[in-house]
Amino acid sequence: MQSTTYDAIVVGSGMSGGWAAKEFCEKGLRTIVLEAGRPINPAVDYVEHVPEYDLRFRGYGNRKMLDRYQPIQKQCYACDEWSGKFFVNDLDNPYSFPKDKPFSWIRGRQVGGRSIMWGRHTYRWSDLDFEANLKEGVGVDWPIRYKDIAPWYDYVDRFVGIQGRTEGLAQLPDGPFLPPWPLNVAEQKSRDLLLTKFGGERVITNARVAILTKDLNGRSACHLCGTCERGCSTLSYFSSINATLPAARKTGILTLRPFSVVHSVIVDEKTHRARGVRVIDANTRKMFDVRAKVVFLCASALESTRILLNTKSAAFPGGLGSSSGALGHNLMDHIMGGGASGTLPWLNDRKSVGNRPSAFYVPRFRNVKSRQPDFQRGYAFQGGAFRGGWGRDLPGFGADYKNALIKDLGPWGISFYGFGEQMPHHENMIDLDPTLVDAWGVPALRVNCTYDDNAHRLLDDMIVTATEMLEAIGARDIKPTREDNAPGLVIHEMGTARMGRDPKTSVLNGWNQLWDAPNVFVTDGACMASTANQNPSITYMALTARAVDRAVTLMKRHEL
Amino acid sequence: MERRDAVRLIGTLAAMPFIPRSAETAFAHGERAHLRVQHTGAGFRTFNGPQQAAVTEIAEMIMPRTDTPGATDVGVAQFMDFIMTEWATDEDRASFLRGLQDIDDRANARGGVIFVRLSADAKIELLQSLDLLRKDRTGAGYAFAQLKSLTAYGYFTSERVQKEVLKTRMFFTAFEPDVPV
Repeated sequence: MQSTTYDAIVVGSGMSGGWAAKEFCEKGLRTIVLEAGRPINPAVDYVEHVPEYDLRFRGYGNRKMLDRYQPIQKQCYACDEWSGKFFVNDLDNPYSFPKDKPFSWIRGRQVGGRSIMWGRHTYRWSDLDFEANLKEGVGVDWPIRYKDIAPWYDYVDRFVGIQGRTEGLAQLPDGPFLPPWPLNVAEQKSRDLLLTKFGGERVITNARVAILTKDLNGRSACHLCGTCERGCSTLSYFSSINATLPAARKTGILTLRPFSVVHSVIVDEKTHRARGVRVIDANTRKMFDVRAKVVFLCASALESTRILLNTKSAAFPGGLGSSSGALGHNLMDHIMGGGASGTLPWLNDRKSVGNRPSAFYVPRFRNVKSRQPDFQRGYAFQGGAFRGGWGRDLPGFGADYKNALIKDLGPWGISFYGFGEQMPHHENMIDLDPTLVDAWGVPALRVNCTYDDNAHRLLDDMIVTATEMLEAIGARDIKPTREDNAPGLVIHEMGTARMGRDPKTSVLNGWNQLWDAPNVFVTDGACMASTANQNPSITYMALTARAVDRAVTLMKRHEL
Repeated sequence: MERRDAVRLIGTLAAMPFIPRSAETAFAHGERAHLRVQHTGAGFRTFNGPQQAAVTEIAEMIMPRTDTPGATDVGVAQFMDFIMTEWATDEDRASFLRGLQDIDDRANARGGVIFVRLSADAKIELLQSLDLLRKDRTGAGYAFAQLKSLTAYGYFTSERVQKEVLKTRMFFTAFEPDVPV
């Protein structure tokens, strides 16, 4: 086995890995990023400007191929005829779950990971979220509070470029926003009506998204083509490929190695320090070691924990990080898909121009000031007001029908789609399947996860409050929606190596360091001790930058 | 053109009994081969002759040529055949074809002929009655609903309609939130 030595190893090149690479390199550490998947060439792979008529299936997608090779991945809206290539082949990447407890694990194995197809919504957590576990006696207390992460939110926000409207809401702290795209005329009127009718409790605010409205660090302001998940030739939305990896590369000390499937961490049995990682070359299947002073696992929540579970030794027979008994446990995902939609009887003579990929957000308002007797925590809505255009169902056929589809936009439609919190539960867990392995021979995961009653009650309440808001703005044809998705599909999987204050109940300390091996850090979704209801990526980014800063400080003091 | 059609066309050319002496003869030969392919239903792999005729006519009735192109102008029937061949499940395809047959059966019951042989007025009347059944899960109503949505999708996503009729833009300098229609 050949072996090469670096200062830092970063496993994974997506949202968290890109930040770890940038921060380490900019602090002068020779860093290798190990990515399991292929390299991405934006000039070839980004397809956001390819129209339907240039595709074989005109956007319908190759159903037969999807059914055969991506039966799980195709559940994600973005796994379509354009972007399906950014999602894994399910046959090569198996995992198991009990028949009655499906789990939808949506994955992207390539340089950039899922930061290429992410939803780009970026919302800070507040102390309402960081204190909730402690106050309610749920799970473990977060070892950090808003004041610990706030400077790091500021730091990453300024590099990422996040547009948003300053609202001054305690439950959703503002950041140094770029000017947001305005709400369209129907959304603005809806905002005004709701502010009056709900006394400022329910707020339609501009979606806070990592899409530039001004040029920033060599990336161009967005040109509103509208289909970000297919890539972005102008680098206008944030991804590791568009932003952090180029910054890391600029230092000249980054090594990025694609096709590198990390099998396990190499641990010194005496010192309990990691010496590096064991890697399988995805093409040759040859195993080799990479050595470094510090290891950052940023492979996604489940993949990072899988590597830890697969790092078995005499000292840690259940895997590295298992001494607490918490490794693999408390798997969470948000619950989504409760809400309602309707049409608006006004402003039919107005329209908006430009394809915004996102529109508005209604921050959490349940259990913020007043207490709800039926459930803990809360949810937020994403939504927007749009005019149907040619895609709408109209009666009739012939010249009038055709002209109506071409010329009339149809009424404004408006929708509220909820994302709620899921509580941590020890029994929602992953472990290594005793028999199943992936295409590279690495033991596959066995997932056991369900939503609890509280999550289902959130879903019920989303319908109630979305309907109330639609009624308040005078919407018609109100249609409630209540989806029944398997966990995983929100693609906000979190937990399984949670942070905490006590090595007996948590896997990571307050700096994302493994209690069991302090030169191993986990800074992706695995570290989360609860989910809040906000989209989590910006929190992973802030925690990653903070953890690298801590690691480098400790290395300088020779304490790592 | 689908790859398979191209292969078919190349097959026709390869079977040429002589090597053309000039570019003109080669071109003329190619033209004839092309016409033959068109008239033997190139682009159609699921719909047989009568089905092609029915689907083409109904698509044109849904989206007729006016001052803008019609369904036939932008190859909607060929698009529907492609989706039915390559995309639809066996079950969905069979269900659609049964529905098409049901349309002909209804035409027969009304006028004693298949759909394409009905008078212009009778065709309109029949489709109007089917439009009321477009929530049906089977039969003529289901087939007409499929025809309508595939026709609209095939029409509006065609290159010509995107460019000439919708004048679809992909680049905007700013988001304009409030513009008169």
